Amino acid sequence: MREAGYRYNQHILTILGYSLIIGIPLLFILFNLNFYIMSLDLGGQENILLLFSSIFMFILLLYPFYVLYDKTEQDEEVSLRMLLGCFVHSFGPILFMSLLVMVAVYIGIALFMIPGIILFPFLFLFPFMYEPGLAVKQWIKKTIGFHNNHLITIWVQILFWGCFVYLLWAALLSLVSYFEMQPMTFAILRMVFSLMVYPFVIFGISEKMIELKREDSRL
Amino acid sequence: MKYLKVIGILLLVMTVLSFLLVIIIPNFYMHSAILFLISYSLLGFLVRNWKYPYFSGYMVACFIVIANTIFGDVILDIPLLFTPDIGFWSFILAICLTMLSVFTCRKFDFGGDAA
Repeated sequence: MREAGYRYNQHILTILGYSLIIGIPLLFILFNLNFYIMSLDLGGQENILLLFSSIFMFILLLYPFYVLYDKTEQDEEVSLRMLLGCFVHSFGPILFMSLLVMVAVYIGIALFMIPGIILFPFLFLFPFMYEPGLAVKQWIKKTIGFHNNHLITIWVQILFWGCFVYLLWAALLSLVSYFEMQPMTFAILRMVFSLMVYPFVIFGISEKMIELKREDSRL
Repeated sequence: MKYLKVIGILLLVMTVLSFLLVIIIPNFYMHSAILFLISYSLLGFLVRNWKYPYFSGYMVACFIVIANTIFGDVILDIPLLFTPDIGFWSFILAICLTMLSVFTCRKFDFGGDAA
């Protein structure tokens, strides 16, 4: 976590640039999707869709930050342009793979929860295991192998960072409880929060992921 | 993977351009026509150096058209998918434009050698 904080501080300008160019429009579109889902009446199922779209906000922003962390750890130069290129090239594969996993988790939840819970970590794993130039079959195989090798660590990471974000968000909401909370205020607050906190969270997870990947390649 | 990559790039370009073009072209029909032209020409440009450029362009164009109509059907509640003339014309136009763009890019050899 200390390393993640250090990297965050080191690349604060690049992160801000990326957030301004990609982050804000992307989150804006996804928040509109959120408001649309909120207006539906599916008898409770819309809460699952809301959770999915919130996770989507995290997943789609993820890969360039992972590359940023990976490159700086190997003392390579990183520019904003490279991050934008990374986002544009990784957008399609990550979008479609996470949509597929989301459908699988949704069906799994309908089958008495447990298959859904088993499939859930793949939502977060696929973007981390993405490599440009890898075939889709190899990508899936690699991710399943990684999941089976490090099941407990992955769950601990998801629970820890989930709690981290949740508690920070609760603290922020109690701080601004005197505001008049309209949907737009809520969306902007959440957007600013996401763009400030998610890079740190992604760096924290990347630290662990890179460590585990090295461990795997040594064996 | 490269198919997914191209589809992702096209979806991004469509989304970004549709927001930007609204400022320049307020007319709805002109807006969608120009967006259509730009995005499917870009598709032809992107697939020009692949092993089977025409077939890949054809398949990706079909996918994009179906994805767009499903989006319109599910999210916006506009019944596009099962309306024959809209489906027919967007399919024909998208595929023809892609083919034309692949042909032009290969003919005039834009951006590197066409394999």
